[in-house]
Parts: sequence; structure tokens; C-alpha cells
Amino acid sequence: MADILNITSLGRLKIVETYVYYDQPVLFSCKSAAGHLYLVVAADKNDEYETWLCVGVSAERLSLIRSGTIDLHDAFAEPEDGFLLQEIIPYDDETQPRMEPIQPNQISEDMLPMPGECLDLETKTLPVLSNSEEMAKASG
Amino acid sequence: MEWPDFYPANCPPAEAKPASGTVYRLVNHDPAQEGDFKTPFEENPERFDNKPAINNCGLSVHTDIQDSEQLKKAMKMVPRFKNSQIAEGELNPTLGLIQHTPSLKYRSHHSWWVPIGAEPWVVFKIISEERNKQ
Repeated sequence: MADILNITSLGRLKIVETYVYYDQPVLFSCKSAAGHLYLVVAADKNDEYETWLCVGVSAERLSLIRSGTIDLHDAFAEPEDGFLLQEIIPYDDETQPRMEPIQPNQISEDMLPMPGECLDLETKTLPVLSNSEEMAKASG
Repeated sequence: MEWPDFYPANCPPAEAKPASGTVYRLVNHDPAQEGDFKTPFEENPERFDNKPAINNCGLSVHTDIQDSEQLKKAMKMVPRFKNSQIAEGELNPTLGLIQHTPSLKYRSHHSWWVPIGAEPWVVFKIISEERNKQ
């Protein structure tokens, strides 16, 4: 599987985790060289170009998305930074791909994951405390 | 068998076998079209730094329809494919080479490399709508 992608304006990104794979990762998280995390999804395709949506996420939010606490629709429709990035990649070799910031309310629902669709991956959680002594220690 | 120019030297891999048997693939058109069988690298080489790898030169197919049904459900999370349908195709050796490349979720996943001149869309027929009606 390709684990490095060259995403317009964001540079070379390393795939952290692939959630849906079909010929290539089509829903995945990735990290820039500077450590910024993004969630990326294949949003649309027509005869002239394809569109991908990228949203910056904190590690905490990505954890909530992975566990299904935040659904995929809201992961893109309610970005932490207030905006997300739309990458448009023309099939015409002479036209350069472009990345543009976009407000969530500018995105057609057709280009967003369906509401209520969630990942359901195990996430690291604190161990269950079995007695009052452990709870006292944990609370410091 | 002649392979596309952009395939790297070790592609298809030596372990791949002549294509055969029934496979399932998600497609966006009914009937399936040439565009449903383009590899990610063909569509967008810059995304892969213009350096093709074996994986982004191949196509995903399943030999178990349940895997394709599960993937179709997962595509509700992926807008580009949320209206995709399952197509069934009967492969034969003129359609290239295939290798079992299972994932944890999709145990019957295969990667399929299609040679120049082949028309794989001809042997595929949409079946998901028929199954939905049953």
C-alpha cells in the first residue's frame, strides 16, 4: 500500500491509518512532516476532475472519530479549525491540482459522508480501577 | 502480455497468477465503463509522487461477494463511492494477473493487474440492484 501521498499544498504526507481501501486509501488519516494530522476522504469525481476533502484534526479529536464518538459527517462538517481543505485534481495533465480552504457550509451534502456513519475502532482507554485504593492513587 | 508503461519493474509481482474465476468489484456506472477500471496511478500520478508502486497499479476485487457487500456499506463513509454498485465478472487469463492480498476486514481481497488492450468492463455485470430487490 502506498504510505506516502503528495497532497497539493500540504506536501508529502505519511498515511497513519487507512479506514477504507478501494484501489487506494479512500478514507484515511495522515501526518505531515511537521506532525499535523489530517483526515482525508475521496469526496467526488466527474469526467474532468476528482475532489478530496482534508480536515485538520487534533490527536484527541482523531481518537473520538476512530472510536465512533464523532461520526464521519461531523468530522468534516464541523472542523475544529472552522474550515477544511478541498483538493481538486483535474485529469487534464496541463491543469495543476489546487487546494483551497472551504467553509463547511459551502460543501454540498453529496460530498460529505452520510450522517450517522461511524468508525468503530478500539481506542486506548484508561484501565478500569477495581478498588477505592487504586481510585485514590489515580486521582492523585 | 503487455503491461502499461508506468508499471514499475516488479509489477505485476512474480506471485501473481493468471486471472480466473468469479470476482466482484464496486463500480460507479451501470453498465460498468472503462472509467470504473482505471488505476489510481493512471488517474492521478502526481498524488503518488510520479512513482508508481505495485499497489496503486492494481485494481481491488473480492472473490467473496459478502466482502463486496460489506465494502459497499462502508462506502457510506466515502462520498465518491456512496452510490457505487457491485458488479460481478468472470475473469480469464487474457484479462491479466491476480494475487490474493487479504486485509483484516476483507479476507477475499485480491489485487488485479490488467494488461494493455484488455476490456475488463465487458465481462462485468451489475448485480447489487438485483440482490437489493430480493
